[in-house]
Amino acid sequence: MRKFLLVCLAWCAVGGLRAQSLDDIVAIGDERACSVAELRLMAPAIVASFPGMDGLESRLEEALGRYEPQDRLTKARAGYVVAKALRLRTSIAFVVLPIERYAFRALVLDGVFANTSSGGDVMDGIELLDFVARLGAAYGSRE
Amino acid sequence: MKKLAAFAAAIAMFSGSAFAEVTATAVKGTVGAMVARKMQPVAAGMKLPDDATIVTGANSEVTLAINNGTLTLKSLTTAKLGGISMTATSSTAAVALKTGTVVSEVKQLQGLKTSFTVTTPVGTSSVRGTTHTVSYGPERGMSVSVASGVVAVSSARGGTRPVVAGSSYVQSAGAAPPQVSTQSSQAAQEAARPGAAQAFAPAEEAAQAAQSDGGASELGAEALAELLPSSGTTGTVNVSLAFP
Repeated sequence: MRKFLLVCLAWCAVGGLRAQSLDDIVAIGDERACSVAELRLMAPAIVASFPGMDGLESRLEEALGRYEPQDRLTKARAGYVVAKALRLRTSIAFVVLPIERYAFRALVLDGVFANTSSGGDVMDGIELLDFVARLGAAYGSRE
Repeated sequence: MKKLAAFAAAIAMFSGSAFAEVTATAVKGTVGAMVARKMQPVAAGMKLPDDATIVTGANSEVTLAINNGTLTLKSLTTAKLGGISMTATSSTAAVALKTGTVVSEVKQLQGLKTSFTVTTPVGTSSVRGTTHTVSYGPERGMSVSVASGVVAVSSARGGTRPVVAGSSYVQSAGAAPPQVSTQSSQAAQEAARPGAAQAFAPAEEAAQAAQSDGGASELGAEALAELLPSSGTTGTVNVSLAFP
């Protein structure tokens, strides 16, 4: 039921991404297996991590639009969304062929994901929060 | 009336948690405190319950004054406070870090026994007068870096490892229980004390040394506790074990 409400909240938000909500962060932290809807809820936090980056919000929306809200959030999917939104150029493979596999590898190389993890791993809530926090640490200086 | 007030103040001073309070001294961005399952925004100067769960948003941080120390919660951190008390002779505070990064600065006061612990799912960092940073994430595990003093890091799987000023230590979530050994970047200390050189060597070096001298470098927790006060740092080791 809570999952359903989260999905509804995420997709019924009108007029772009909502401001980051601490209640959402707490709820996501308790999730055992996240869906793309939870990543969308964290989108405002991703945008807030990169103040001054033009067009990030619209690129995030666009990349998230590729998936259904109930789709499982794997590391490769999360990596693809942020790699597209941040316009990652650290991996030639991803620049040439922007697919989930190379997005995940690029984020492993940049230290966002551990090299022991797999792109097919479904992220839990704590992993998602940690992922967003690490994005800011890894790419924040690009602002 | 004055006598009554003085008596009441004296009773309060020695009755346990009279001075135990948590105050938000600086707030940046979006910060909230979960009190009685309800999220409340945190503002500078606000007093918080000693069992509050603090949550910070992206690009946000909050600094809390707790007893004789400060605790700064960095961006996207969730931590629960607990066991905070202060008497005339002791100060206790415990922080359960769910995810994110906390920076603690604990002042060592004369005659005040201080216990300040930061617990993550994979270990516990315990200090008495030091400045150190603890961060935790399921990908990277528990990372402890010490700016001053000495911190004892206890793995949730058993084993305690002192981390001294200038050093850092990572307890990965899936790692084997650590050897009881220490590490240090203070080469001078190592040169001055051969025993400390082995004790503060990285785990691999300690293992090699143990092989070469028949395990003489393996130190128990008691031996480390005796060794560390003479290591030239200002803190002392508080050995604490976290049971899974």
